[in-house]
Amino acid sequence: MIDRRRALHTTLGATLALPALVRAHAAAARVVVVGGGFGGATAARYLRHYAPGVHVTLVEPARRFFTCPFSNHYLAGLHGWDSLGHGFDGLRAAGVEVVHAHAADVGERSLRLDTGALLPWDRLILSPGVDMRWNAIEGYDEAAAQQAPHAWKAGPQTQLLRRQLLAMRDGGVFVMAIPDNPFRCPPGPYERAALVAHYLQTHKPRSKVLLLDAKENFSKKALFLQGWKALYGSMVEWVPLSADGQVVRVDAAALEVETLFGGRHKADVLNVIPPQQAGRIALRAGVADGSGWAPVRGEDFASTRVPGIHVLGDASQAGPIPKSGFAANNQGKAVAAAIAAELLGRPRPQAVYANTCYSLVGPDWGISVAGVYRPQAGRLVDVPGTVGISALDGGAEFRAAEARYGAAWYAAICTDIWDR
Amino acid sequence: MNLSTPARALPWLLLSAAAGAQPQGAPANVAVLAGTCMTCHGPPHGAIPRLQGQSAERLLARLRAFKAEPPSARATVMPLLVQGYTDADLQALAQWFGTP
Repeated sequence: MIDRRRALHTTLGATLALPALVRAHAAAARVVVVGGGFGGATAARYLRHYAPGVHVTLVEPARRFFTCPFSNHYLAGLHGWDSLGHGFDGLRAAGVEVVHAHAADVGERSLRLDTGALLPWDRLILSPGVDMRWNAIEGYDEAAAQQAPHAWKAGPQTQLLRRQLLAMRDGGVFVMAIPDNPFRCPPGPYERAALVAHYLQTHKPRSKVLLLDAKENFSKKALFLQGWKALYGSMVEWVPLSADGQVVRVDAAALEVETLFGGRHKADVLNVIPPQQAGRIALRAGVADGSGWAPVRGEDFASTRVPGIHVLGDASQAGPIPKSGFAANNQGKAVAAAIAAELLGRPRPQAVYANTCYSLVGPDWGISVAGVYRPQAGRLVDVPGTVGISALDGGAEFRAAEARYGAAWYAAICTDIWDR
Repeated sequence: MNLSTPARALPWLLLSAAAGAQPQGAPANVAVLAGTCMTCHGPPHGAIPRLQGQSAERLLARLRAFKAEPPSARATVMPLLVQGYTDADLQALAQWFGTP
């Protein structure tokens, strides 16, 4: 592994030192992107836009990519399953070669697929999302997830949790275990709590939502606490770490969990969102560190560990920018611009990253958090005065507007990435 | 939410044509800045206004006004986000998206 990395370093170091040579070969340059989600599909599309001569291959096993954003709406019955799926015809039309396969391993300037094919690359972009850290919570492994779904990757797990919710008795308890930071979509568990409560209030009003949390604070906390209370009264109960909220053991067959100080909770539906790490291929490529995430440079999301590889989206760790689809989309554009400039021997444009996360608390009750981030000496920092949650005292008109803006955002970002 | 019907795709084709008028193959700073806007301000329908088709002058006035105004139902996040851009950024963005 070390030798391979050194070899990569030498080869790419020589390439990077010769922009004129790179420019001469820009038309033949090959960029391989792993992951057709918010980060990878954006990078692939915008790279073709910024540098039309570059050969871009996108590796994504799914023929339709289902988004985690708005999957809570599906759980609550507010959206159909198909509305979450997005195909790759638009990317193909933009000149991206799309290969439906799994990325198996990263070699010296090549990517091996599970089909055995080898894809050579001059630059590799990894946007693999997250993997669950099985057994980080005792008893919670892949098999247990078939009874107590995480539903933290949109797909069969999400559909399983929906079926369980539909089958739950009135008066039952929906228990959710929530991990410590960092993890994919920081406000996601709390939006899920709200929208599950919306479903239960409408269909099974004697039921409860019990949130067992491994931390004291969470994204948009004040807005969620306010919204849960206003819309669902005491139906949603949040138990922080200090009140013995951290789940340490799961008995999926019995639908029971145990917390750090010995508390036991029996669920009718058990949703365990376990600790996570960068997707497997990031670990194979050697870009992840001991934390399980991939450290990157704020300027261009280049790996600080392996030259020639950029890591985007939830798998990367670049400072305070959240693991959100919006952030991954902005990272994809910045990386595409940086790689295009490098391959064409032009100055690299300044990177800027924005983020806005809307969450739905009820059908007409939206909330948000926003921020702008810029690189500074290799890291990302938030621009003072830009990061904050939306107004707590906004009132009904404000909340209804943010619900509409959230829906418009979903349509816009999906159009930007896949649906055009 | 499949928006890939020809009718929805048309404005994007027009946008791509407009972008094609810029020097190709050398993404400028403004292209990267503008990329952050397009995550929300894209399709012609919906609650978030489209930026193309407005005059550059009007866009710049609106962007500058966000810097001093409190959030409201009409603009819940822009008063925050706009603090992350310099006045030169805002001028470049207004020129990029706006009509002369």
